[in-house]
Amino acid sequence: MIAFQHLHKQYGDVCALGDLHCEIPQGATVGLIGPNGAGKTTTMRILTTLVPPTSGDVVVNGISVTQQAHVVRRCIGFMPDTFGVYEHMSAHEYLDFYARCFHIPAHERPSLIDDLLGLVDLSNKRDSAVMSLSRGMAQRLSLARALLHDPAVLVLDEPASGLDPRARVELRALLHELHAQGKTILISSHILADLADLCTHLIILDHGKLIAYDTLTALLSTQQTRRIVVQTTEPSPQLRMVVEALGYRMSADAQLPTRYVIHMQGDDAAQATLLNACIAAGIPIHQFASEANTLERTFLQVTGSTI
Amino acid sequence: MWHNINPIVIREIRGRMRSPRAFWLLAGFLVAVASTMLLVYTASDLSSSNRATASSDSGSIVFLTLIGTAMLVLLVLTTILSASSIAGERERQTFDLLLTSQLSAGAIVVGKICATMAYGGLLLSAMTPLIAIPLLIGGVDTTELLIMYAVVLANMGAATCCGVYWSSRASSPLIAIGMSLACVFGILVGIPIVAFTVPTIWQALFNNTDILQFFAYFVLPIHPIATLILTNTAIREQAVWLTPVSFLSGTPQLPAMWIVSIIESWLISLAFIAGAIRRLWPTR
Repeated sequence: MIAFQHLHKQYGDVCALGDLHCEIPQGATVGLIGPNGAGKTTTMRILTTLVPPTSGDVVVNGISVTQQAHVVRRCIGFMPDTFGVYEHMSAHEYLDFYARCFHIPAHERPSLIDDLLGLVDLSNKRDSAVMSLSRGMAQRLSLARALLHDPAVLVLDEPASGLDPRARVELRALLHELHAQGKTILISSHILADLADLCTHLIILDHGKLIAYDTLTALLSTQQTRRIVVQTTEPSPQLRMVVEALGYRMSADAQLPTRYVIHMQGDDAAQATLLNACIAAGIPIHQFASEANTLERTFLQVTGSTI
Repeated sequence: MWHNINPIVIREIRGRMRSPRAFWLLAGFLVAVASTMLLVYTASDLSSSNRATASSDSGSIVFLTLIGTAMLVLLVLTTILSASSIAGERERQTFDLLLTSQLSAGAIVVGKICATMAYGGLLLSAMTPLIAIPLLIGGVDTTELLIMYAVVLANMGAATCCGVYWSSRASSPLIAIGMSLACVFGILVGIPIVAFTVPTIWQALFNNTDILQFFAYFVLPIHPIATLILTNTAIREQAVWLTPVSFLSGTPQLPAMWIVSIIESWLISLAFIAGAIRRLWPTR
């Protein structure tokens, strides 16, 4: 379990993080999202003991980051947003070096490294120079490095940034596997679709403040506005009158004159009322569908932004 | 045993030796030292009128030149290499990964120092065939050779620690190298200035030079080249371990200048190591 306890970080006059207070349950996969400068990286750097907080604390499995940083590092695996490379080093040597840095006994290292290279599907790149690896392979190697000491908590800063679609899918599958192994995972990412697929919980930060923290399901269900996509067989000016009569907003698709998007507040009953009103008005509807609530729209709603 | 060595030392040495730069540095170092030695030997040989004493004098001069040149080159090289160590990790964005590992700040700093010293030691041992030449010519014995090597290693250690200290403070390798070289050249240029101006002013004001000898006894050994020259003179005067220093009314026998130089180099190194560890400490 990770407990952020009234965490505060000040850089001169700038408040990077203000009173972050929440608890992440063990085994959760938590997405850390927010606009640039929201405090995501600061939160991760404090958690990984790279910077001390101005006040407050983070407790990881009962161990304080400020009091016992050395012990906390044993149970945290960190994957930064950049993949720093050492020249003239193979993938195996790269992992071996960090295994030594984590004081992993010599007799355990060869099999551990081979296992991890297998887990991240890089066994065939064992002796390849780290610098020659593609971005996706480098990210997977970085993840293998973060797993060397079998940490209970994984902190991943923008793990999918710069990856091609195939590499993103592979990384997602790998993270699903780690979640299944019971690891607590904290991921910062701007790719919300990936987070929606991976995360059990979400932390939304803005200007250093905690805006929302809940399970993904709960956050998605708080979305107030529904988007209904209506398609008619021919352009229908009547539809606007019906929608506005019920107090909703509608926008027409500039490129497809028979496609309309209705923004409405209300539940399933209100949606049924709208459909009945359209049919009663004789609008030639051939498609009437409510768009699924997306993380993007939840994020925009929670942070008070609009598209 | 190999498994228990600081991982940073292994990685640094491995990375450095796999780079083609290691070969060029080694070749450049040997060419610089050998050319200087050849020039000095030729000049010494041509200027000697008495062939009987010429051999031992030439041997001593060539040896001193060889060690002096090696010392200067090694001071600059190890300073540059060590200054780019921690700052280089920051630039490569690998430093955070080290900080989040189980390595202590001390292990990181000592690892960087040992790796640079190992490379410096390699360069020093690579010039062994050149050192054999003045030994064959004569005028140099094994004791002098060992003493000079000890002085070179101690001063190289201090320069390395200075580089690592600035590397731990600077945001880029370039700044770290600049600050470290400024320190090293500050000592090389500053100590002679202090050693010559302070006694002159002191004597003009107080007409007493006793205390100045004591002052020089502690200040001059900080200068590596001055230490080599004065040690060479002392050894030729059979004062290998002790040296007389006029102080007030007496002339006590104090440890030789090379011993003071090594001790002072160690103290300077320890101060830089403590500074570098302290610099990394807040995050450890």
